[in-house]
Amino acid sequence: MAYFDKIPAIGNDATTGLPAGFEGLECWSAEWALPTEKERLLKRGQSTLVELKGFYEDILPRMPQIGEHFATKPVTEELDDSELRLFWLACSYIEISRCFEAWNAVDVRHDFFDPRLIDPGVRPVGARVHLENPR
Amino acid sequence: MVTAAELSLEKRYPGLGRNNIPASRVVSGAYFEKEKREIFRKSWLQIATMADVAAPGTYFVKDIPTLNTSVIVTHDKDGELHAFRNVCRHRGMKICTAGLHHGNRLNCPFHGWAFDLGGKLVGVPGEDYFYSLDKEELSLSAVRVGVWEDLLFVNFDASGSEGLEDYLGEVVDGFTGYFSSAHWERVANYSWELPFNWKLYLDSSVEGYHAAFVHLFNNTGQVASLTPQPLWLIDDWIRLYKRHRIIGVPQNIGQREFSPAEQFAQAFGTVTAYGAAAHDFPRDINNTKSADFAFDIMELFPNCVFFNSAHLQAIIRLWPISAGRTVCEMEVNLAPAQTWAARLSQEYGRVSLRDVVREDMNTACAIQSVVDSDDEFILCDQEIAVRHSYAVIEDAVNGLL
Repeated sequence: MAYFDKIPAIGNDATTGLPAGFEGLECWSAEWALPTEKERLLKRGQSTLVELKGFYEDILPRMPQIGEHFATKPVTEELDDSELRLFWLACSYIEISRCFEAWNAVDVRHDFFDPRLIDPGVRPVGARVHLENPR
Repeated sequence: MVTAAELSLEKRYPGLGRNNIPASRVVSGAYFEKEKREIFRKSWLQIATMADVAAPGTYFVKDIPTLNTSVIVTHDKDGELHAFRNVCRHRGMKICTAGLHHGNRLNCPFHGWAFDLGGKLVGVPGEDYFYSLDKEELSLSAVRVGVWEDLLFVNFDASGSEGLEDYLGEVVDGFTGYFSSAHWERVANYSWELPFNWKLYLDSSVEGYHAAFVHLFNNTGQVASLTPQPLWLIDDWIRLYKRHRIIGVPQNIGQREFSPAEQFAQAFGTVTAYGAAAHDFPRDINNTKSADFAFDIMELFPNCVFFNSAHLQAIIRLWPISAGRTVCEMEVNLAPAQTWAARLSQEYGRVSLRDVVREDMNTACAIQSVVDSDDEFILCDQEIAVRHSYAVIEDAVNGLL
């Protein structure tokens, strides 16, 4: 099963917990362990820079450790729920990184877009290709 | 260090002239109908890659909004590719939904007519109730199909005689191996329907002049300011052909340190465009094999923009549905990930490119929202590839291409 389809059950212990060594990020799980790019981008767009800053500053120094952690895990192996949450938190860091590292704003200029068009619109077919290498 | 271009591109391509471009070409419904009839119905259209229809016994369905149609590309068990209009011969039902399907039969969901992957009608429920039905005459309507460098093309002009290789012309031998499905992993298929004329997005893709304004904060390791001057392109990195065009974009100007996210992406994968220049590219990627190369933008006529670099490859397909509205698709291809850390690196590659492309689409939306058909667009020497694009399209709608 692809990681974005594997949404943890809500309201039980399965929704909490990160791999050993990353417990300090637990407080961000509910808000930022978002399984899809669409959710992460929408969350970014609905936040202010001030709201993003706490998560950004907390996860930024841990990203090298997160990278080393996932570098030991081949994509041929599925991640368990706690690993997935950490992975999605790291994806959320990447989604908001440029807010602080490039733009000093929550988004690039989109003032001429109809706001609903900000949705990245990743289609299920493409997303599956992402996870299940067609070759 | 690259040097600035002089006013010399016009001399290089003297036939293109200096006239302003009438804005009516992005407003006029009549002009759009001509584009549809003379260009989209007659051209080879790049619709997918072989990764989309890789295995025998599969078929791939692609909707073509510009032509109000849909095409099925089948890969039969003998390895042959076929393409058909996605329309049942019985009562015109659309047979398959878009995307990849597995199986050796196409079954119409309306009354169960069945076709094989060669398009032949092989089953009609209640066949005896029809009046002299000749199944041999009722194969799916064929569409021409071709493959170049693992890129899939179709052509809806049944009477057309120009083959795909002739259509590709000057670029046909220049990309050996580059687009091979073995090198790339698809990491995103975006689709947006946006309020602009399709040509306005082509326009922003083939000049560097806008970069310091539209992409001021988004450029990575390359020019992001006006000092010493805008991102001028190098003359011989601009290649204008009969239909298609390629421009090369340099790096190592206004270089800055990588941000933390970029450093992360570089540490665990190879996903950004601006890696070390690869000198073993085929002929038409980084055509001068310069160490300053960042990426090439190739526009394959009529509607595809290719972003070609060492570690990031993307195809943007523009499907106009009216003079002022376009379905924009972008597929992003990156080096295949071996680890979950490399997947995070890929995540940076796709979302950073996504937001740069949104900046250009934002510009196109803005122009379309105020354009008047009496306006004109003024182009400088550095915008010669934009001039070329309008000239090719104008020739095509007038049957002169």
